[in-house]
Amino acid sequence: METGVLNGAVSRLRILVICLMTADVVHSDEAVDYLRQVKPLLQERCFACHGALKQESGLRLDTSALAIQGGESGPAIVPGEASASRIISRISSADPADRMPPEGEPLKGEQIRLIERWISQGAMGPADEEPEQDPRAHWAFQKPVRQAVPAVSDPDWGTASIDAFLAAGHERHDLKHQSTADPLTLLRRISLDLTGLPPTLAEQDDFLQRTSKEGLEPAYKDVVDRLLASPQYGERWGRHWMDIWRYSDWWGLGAEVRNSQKHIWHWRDWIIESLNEDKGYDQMLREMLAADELYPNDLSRLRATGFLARQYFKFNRTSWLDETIEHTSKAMLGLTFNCCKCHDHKYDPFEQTDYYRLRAVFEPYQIRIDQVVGETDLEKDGIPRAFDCNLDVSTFVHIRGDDRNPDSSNPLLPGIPSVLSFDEWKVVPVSLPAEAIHPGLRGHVVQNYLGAAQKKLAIAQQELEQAKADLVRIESEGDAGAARTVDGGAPKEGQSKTPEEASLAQIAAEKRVALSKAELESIQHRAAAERARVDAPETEQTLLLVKQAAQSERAADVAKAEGDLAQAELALLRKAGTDKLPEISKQKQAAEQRLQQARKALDSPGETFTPLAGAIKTLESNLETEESRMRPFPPSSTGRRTAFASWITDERNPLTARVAVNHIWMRHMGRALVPTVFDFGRKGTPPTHPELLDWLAVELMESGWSMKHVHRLVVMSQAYRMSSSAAGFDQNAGADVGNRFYWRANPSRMESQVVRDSLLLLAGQLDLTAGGPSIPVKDEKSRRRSLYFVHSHNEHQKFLAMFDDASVLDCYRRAESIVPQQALALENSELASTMAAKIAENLAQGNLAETDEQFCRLAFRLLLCTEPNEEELQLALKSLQKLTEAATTAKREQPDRFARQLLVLALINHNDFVTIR
Amino acid sequence: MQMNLNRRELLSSAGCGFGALAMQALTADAGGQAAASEDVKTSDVITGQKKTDETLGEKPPMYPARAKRIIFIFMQGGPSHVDTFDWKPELQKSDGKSIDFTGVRFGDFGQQTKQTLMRPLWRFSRHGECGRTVSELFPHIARHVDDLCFLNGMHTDGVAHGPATLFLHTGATNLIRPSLGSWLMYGLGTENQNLPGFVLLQPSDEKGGPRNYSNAFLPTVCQGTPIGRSWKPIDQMTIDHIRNTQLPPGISTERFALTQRLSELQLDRRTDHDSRLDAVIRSYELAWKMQAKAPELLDLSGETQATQEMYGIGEKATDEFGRQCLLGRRLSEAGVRFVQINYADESPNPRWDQHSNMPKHEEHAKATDKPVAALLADLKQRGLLEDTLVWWGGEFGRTPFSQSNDGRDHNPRGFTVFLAGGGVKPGFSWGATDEIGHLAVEGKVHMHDLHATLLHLMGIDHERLTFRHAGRDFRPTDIYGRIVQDIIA
Repeated sequence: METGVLNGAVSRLRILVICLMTADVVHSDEAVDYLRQVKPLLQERCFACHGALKQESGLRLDTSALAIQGGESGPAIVPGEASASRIISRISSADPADRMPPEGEPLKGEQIRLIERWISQGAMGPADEEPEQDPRAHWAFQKPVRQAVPAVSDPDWGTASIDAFLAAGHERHDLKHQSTADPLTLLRRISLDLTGLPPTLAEQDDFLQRTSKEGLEPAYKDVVDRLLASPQYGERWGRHWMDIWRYSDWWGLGAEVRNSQKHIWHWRDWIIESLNEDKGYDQMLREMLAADELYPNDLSRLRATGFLARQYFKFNRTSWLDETIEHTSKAMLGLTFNCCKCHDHKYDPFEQTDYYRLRAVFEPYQIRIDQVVGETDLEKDGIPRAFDCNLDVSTFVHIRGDDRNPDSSNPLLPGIPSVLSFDEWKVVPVSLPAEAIHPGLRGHVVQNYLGAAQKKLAIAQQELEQAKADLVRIESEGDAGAARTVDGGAPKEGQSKTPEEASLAQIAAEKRVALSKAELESIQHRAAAERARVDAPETEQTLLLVKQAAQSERAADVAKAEGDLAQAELALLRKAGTDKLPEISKQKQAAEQRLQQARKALDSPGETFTPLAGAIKTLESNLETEESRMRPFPPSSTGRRTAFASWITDERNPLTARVAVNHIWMRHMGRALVPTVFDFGRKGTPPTHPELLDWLAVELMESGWSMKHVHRLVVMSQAYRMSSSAAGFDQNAGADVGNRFYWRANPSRMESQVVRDSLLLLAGQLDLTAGGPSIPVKDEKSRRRSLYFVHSHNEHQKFLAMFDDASVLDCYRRAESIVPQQALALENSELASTMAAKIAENLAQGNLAETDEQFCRLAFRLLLCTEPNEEELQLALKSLQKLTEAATTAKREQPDRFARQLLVLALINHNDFVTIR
Repeated sequence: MQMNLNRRELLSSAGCGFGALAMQALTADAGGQAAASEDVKTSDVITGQKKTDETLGEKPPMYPARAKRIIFIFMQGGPSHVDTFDWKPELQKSDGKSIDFTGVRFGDFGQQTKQTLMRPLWRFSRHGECGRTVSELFPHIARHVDDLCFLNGMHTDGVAHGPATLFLHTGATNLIRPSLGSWLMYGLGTENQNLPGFVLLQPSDEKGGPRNYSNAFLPTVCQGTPIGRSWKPIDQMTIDHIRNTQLPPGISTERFALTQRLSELQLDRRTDHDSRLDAVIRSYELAWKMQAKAPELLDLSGETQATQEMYGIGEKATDEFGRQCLLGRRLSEAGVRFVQINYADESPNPRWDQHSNMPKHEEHAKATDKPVAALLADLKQRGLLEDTLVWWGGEFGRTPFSQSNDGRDHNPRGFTVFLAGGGVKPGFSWGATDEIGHLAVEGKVHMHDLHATLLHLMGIDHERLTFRHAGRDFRPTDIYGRIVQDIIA
């Protein structure tokens, strides 16, 4: 036994020795490349805590020298002695409490051996190895400074400042740049870019004419001015910002709202209108984040807080606020704050508490829907908007990001990360005007109620006239009168047949008139009393008005009960002898009881009344009760979001303007200056043209945050106007095939909305009605612009969904896809073929397309903004012929016309149709 | 330019062979993509990183695969395992007995209640050489038990239909994640060049609807293609826009040729390194092939009378699902990577969701039993079962105790699914629920584990199938998933 065990142990030892030897034999003489093999590993797994961002235990591992130097526990590495190096014992420890890294998978055996070998070989690093930069010194955390515009030596290049910044790249990489695109290509590009719609034939002709007469410059400038001034600009760029700000119509289960809000389209309209009037970008952000505190009674601006209403999620407040924080940070600041929900940020100098301090900014806010002019029913219309509801609610760090585990010993105050603060963070509570607290006071709300009551009164009066006439007729005509109605038909359910019935019906109608009058009066009195209570709370006059309001509200209750009773009595007579009788008797008894109570209440009406409701709070969660939902709105707001918005829009904020111009640049130029558009942090990609980015950011701010100013700067540059063709530029392919340095324009593919809108416009079918409620996705006949369709997580317009549509969850950048389903949609959908037929029909009108050749040329011009070359023309002509023959064989009426439709359809399917060149 | 000369040569030599051109373009594109992504630290960090050509080509598995394709038969609503495939004698004995139960639903979470056990409503008997017990609800499927591999210890996340259905498809109850089929498309591409690689027959628009087959952040080419909708009549089970209803075939061909030839001319005209043009030409070619191939595939009339009868086509109870199963086989046979056959509807209480009136299970069993059995037999007789993995199941099971007198509530903590073919042990059962069939206790397989195992059988390591989105790597099983080696043949 014993020998056996010993033998076993010895043989195991022998195997172990052999293994170690083999390992040594195989690897020991193979030199480890520190920069290529070791450093990236340390960077990925260790730097977050032992680098520039943090120095846990005083240890840094971002240079070999620092690692050897070690921290509080002594050197981490003893060169040449892997087994004596603390780093090795810690990364290979079997005890999870002792093992590094503390989170995630342990390092793999081969990774540990690699580090061991590097240490055994002397733990060498380059002599000039620099430690990681201080994270606070990261480029994007420094305020952008206007950079001097470089001088350009190339006489053929543009003179715009943007061109000057780009010329440096051309020179450095010896890149030949393209010349200006041909006028029609340029016209199509700028039209689609600024309005999302292609130019019509008339616009093309006009532009060509002006260009040849006055030159490209003035003609182009006028086009830019015209397009930027057109309402379609706001729709095109509104859709871009809707992508970034995650516009979504509400979705849920059946009629239950679970995400976003009903009528959120008001926010969409605000975006479009704001862009069209060139409202400052800073002002837009302020309104979106805090219009309820800054402009509490300005319904038009309150629409902007739809940004916050859209974040609504019924079932989990933490998910709701997580999304608010994540997407506010990504969209407005280019920061991935979401990374520090569970732990300190691994790349940027933000701590987990920073995340929850940001949460505290949003913690008190909830959603309510305010009445708009002309509608009291908030299911039908209203403005979903933010307001601070829970003023005293605390915010705690969720330990490891788990909302079931808040650190309730330590409530947090709202705030911003210290690394990004430049001023004292000041939160000033806002006291709200009476109309914001009691929206029933708003003039239009009172008018809404009065209008509705007056309408009801008019109907009641009409019905009373009818009832009177019925009674007279039935009495005078006897049985004959009962047998038919005024219209001559037999009496239907609910119409009187006998004088008794007619008489009771008249009484019921009279009561309804009385009720309507009482209600009207009640509304007037309640509105007046509420107003007085706010304006002069303690006066005699107010007390009088309050009493009057209470009295007329009670009187209306009496009138209501009387009306119900009269209706029940009439029903009793009408349903005599049916099995409905017992039920109606019960109703009558109940009405009598209510009447008794109402009369009693009227005897001592007291001093309480129901103020007119001008808004209703959206349920905070599925657990909120109606009672808490109906509580009065708070008289003040915390001011937290105003403070946050001021910080974001302060010109000293290093991120806001840069992130915005990067988004604008990318959508014009087909490529971003900072490709990680939502991450300007240390994990993001540095800008390809830092000076240009900063120059643009400063231009945006100094122009009063005018986006139209930035659009003009970009589209008036030579860089924007270049041809997108690479023909004849083979020598550039080696240095910059991806066109990082903008030696030609980047062609881009149309987004889904642009495909559909272009089709409709060219067919003369586009309905340019602006704004209003979202169009149901099933309304396939709608010819409105595509951005007006319902767009939510559950509902997508079918045609749009085939192309590259925006994900409502996050869409900082549209994906570009090319899939066969798109080809099928453009080839076979009813929309494509109907529009093709319309286009062919329109082209045939007038005498410009009499011959096939004329038709072909015109069709190329309209759809692709280009003349066909000879080869294309011959192909099109031959195809027309063949298609006509095929149509004749298939016994189509007017085969030549049909063939022309098909040619148009082919051009719609042409790559240049869906491409912006 | 050299590259364009190659294209021209290919075009002229290959005749109508755009496929070859496109493949060439793909290889050319790989270089372009790498160059284009230089300015991005990690090439695919960004959502919406420009994806100019999302290849539809086939990609090799990570290691030798046991299955080439999956057919998922989705039983929407949650069939009761204790009345179908999980025989619990103890439950039979304890009928009417009261047990303590801790609520898991939204309204009763954590609440202690008494519940009354309800015996299985159908009789069980043993079948096949493996002696598997199956209830009388599924007499046809029972004949195939020697080919089936039952997982009796399933459990999952999500107690309501919405979340649980999303979890079944995407591995997440509320977040937006790609569907399992989309991950497969991403990992393996498509085997078939005439059809989409991930299709769903008659899917429901409810309980997550399209989110259940969405590519989420994966390239669009990975999205599921619905064929029909659960609310549409079965004779409209087709692909959107697949036919041009206005054009006779001759004209259609001529028209299509015109589009492609115009694009071809474009290659001459635009020498601008725009790989999109190649991708467009290729997408049109695929669309054209789909138009040519799909209607024929979708047409079941070519199948023999005997086959149609085997699937129950023509019989009132089984006609609809029979058509789906037969079409499922045809698509799978044609090389569609992931076919999902849906027994689904648009109601708030979908199909198998018998909160009351358990006897209604009989109706659903009748509608699906014969077609599913026929599909299994048909796959086997064609030799397809070897490398086709069949998966039958719902989003969860049902409770052993009663609800509303004669119904059962949702039970995500213990239920049964079965697999067949594609590398799983035939005539085999794995795992178990407790004595009354409430909680999975032995050989527990979480839905993440099932996903990991299915991917493994397809030759994909679920831990290595990642996609970088919104700043981090995502994988189909989140940070979970364990391959159930015990069921692999």
